[in-house]
Amino acid sequence: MQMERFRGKTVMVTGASSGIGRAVAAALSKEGGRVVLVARNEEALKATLPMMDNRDAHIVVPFDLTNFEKYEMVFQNLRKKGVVLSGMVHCAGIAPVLPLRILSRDNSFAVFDLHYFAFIELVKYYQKKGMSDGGSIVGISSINAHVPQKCMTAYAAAKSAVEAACRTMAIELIEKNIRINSVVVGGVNTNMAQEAGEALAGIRRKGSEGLRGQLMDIALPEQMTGPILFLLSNESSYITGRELYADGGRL
Amino acid sequence: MTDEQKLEEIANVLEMEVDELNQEMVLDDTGTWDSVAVLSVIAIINEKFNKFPDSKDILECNTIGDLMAIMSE
Repeated sequence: MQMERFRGKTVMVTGASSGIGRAVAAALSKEGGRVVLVARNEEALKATLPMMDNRDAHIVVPFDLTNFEKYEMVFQNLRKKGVVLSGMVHCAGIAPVLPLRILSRDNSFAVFDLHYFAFIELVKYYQKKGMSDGGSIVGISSINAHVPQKCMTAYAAAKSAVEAACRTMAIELIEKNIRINSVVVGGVNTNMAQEAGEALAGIRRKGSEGLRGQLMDIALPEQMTGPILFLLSNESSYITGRELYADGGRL
Repeated sequence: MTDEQKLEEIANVLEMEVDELNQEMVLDDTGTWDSVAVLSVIAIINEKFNKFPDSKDILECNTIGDLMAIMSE
């Protein structure tokens, strides 16, 4: 039976040009949802549309999420179009391999800007009066926030920040009837993970750099849509400020 | 990226001072050319030139000069 949990609802998906974001956008459309697709690269964003149902219904917003001066305009434009959001998921991300000896404020900020500061801005605008009708926000965290992996300090710290922010903002957001949770993803086969993996692969020593103890093989992005859509939908109406692990199991 | 900037980055990666380095120096003789150093070079090239070098190309570098040659567009 085809579910239609998102009929009549509009959900913003960042990072909708690739990986988990693209898979989530497609899955939402197949359940009747309208999607606001956000990412830097307009061409790549538009390449997501053919994977979606009702492809003319969706709104493509090419926007660099680290351009913090642009948020006001982006959300104003949505408001002018009469968009009222019922959900949002922040999938955009980068996962640079940064050994401690070259880890800097600059390259750490680049990671935090996209994962954490962008997320905070998105949530701030989402919860503004008239921009949403309550609904549910999902942040994407990573198993890196819980299981250490060599040279991934900035990424792990940024994802930990996202989780902590979700737990904490849940308290204020519940007053507006907005739920917020994060999904802790394990190894997922995306361009982002591949780039990090390739960097590590050339010099990998047994058990020293990889993520240890994952019980299942690396996941397809499509395997992340179930948990994310569950948290976006009313099926999870009594869940907020929590993490849902979709990490393939751990020893 | 100027040669001076490259040497500065490489000194950082090898945890040495710039004036201890020269282009003919063999990486394996530095004692700090290890897996993390290779990863560091990948990260620098990614950061400065927005591309992902093949780690094999970096592992094939013999001298500091070879490494400097790889640190380009």
